Amino acid sequence: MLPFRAHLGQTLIFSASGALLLFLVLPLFVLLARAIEADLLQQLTQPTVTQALRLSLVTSSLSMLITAALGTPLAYSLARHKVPARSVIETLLDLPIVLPPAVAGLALLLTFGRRGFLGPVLETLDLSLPFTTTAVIMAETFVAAPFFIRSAQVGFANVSHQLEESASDLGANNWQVFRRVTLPLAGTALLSGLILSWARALGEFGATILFAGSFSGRTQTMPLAIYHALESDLGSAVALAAILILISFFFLALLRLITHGRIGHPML
Amino acid sequence: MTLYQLRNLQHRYGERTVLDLSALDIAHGEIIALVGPSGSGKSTLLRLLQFLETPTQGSLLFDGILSDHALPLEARRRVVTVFQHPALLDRSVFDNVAYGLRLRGVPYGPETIMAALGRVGLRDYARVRAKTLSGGEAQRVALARALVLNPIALLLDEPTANLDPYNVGLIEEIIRGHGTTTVVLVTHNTFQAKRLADRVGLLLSGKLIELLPADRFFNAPLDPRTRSFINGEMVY
Repeated sequence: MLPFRAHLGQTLIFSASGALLLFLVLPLFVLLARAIEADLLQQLTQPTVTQALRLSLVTSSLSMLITAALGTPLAYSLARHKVPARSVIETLLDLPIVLPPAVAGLALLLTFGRRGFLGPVLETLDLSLPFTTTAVIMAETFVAAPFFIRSAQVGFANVSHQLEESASDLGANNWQVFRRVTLPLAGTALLSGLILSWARALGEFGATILFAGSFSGRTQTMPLAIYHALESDLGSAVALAAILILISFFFLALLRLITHGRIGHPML
Repeated sequence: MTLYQLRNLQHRYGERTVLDLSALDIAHGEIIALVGPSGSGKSTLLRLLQFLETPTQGSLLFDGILSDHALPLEARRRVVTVFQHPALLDRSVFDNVAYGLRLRGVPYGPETIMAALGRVGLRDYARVRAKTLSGGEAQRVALARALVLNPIALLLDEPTANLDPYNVGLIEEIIRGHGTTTVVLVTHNTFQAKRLADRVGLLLSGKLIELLPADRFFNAPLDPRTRSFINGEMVY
């Protein structure tokens, strides 16, 4: 009896895994197949497609740069300094990760909108943010930055204090310690956080459509363009979707490569 | 001439006072050994002398200059510590020895590095990857890396703990050839202190019990606690 039951158990495990795997992967392959059928390369010359692609790449890259520039000091402080109400700050930072992006978009609109909380201030500065490319970058940064900050914080916290101290002892100034020891040792975590947040920014939809709208060439990023194209031109929607899949796959593969230690540490 | 002058110095971690010294003077060019059980504050004292931390209270005068709250990079660069477990870069032995000079932006020739390696008997190891060294060799590289900087003070934190007698002998020989460099040696090995030091001090629970010339410390100590520590009777 036992061998039969064991056999049955294995069959159940295989069929359950297979069914879910198929469910998760099949739609992606169908989409890629349709894209090839619809002549992906030809679709790539369509102005709606190129505009959305360029806008997506530019905004997500700028959002990534802003996140790295401002997020690195924040992550370092959270990892190293005595921060009052640390757990409160950390929970607030995690909030955008779990919030529906539409909520983030609404919150941004209520804060930076023309009649929002900071509206009067922005108006005196002659600034109008909603429905601009800047708004796209803001929305993307808002939802994506926590991914980077959390990853970088863990990375900084894991750097051995002994190694930093050895560098100080050998005469490194604070900046040299940070640049030559801390940063390289936390590098893997920083890089993977950066890729994750960039990928999140690239796929941003909900916050963008609420706060920035969907104006072709100005705020219509790839996810928004897919949504719009569905109504008129399925071919370009499929092409855009296929490109997103390929780009995301490429960066996830890169991420695995990095986190599996292919990019080495300079110190013991 | 005094290199370090400590007065009414206290150092606390939170509520705990780890170091409480009324006075300690360390002269230019001497070898001073600090002995005492683990947790007596020896390593903390070295961290203060290396300017890795600022004392909570009291004054620390270095070569006539008061170390204030901004940890002075210039002072730190004239002192170097060799720890019990050296942190070497995952590069060649040569690069490791050159590291301190590179951090300082000091121009140097290969002969400078090779001379330092020669002093620790590792001239043939320049191209070897530091990761592949034995414990004793790694510690000698750490010593060469410190000596090449020509420090005014060399701080040694249990430099030979866990090493074989051959390497202990080599390292003690290198320490003896310290020249004009002041050496502060922290150890719980009283025999090593006896072999190397001009003066020996006993630290217990953050306090300096007494500091005497080596022969007096071992033959005619004033404090009974010193005697029981030397005789290995100290219960801790």
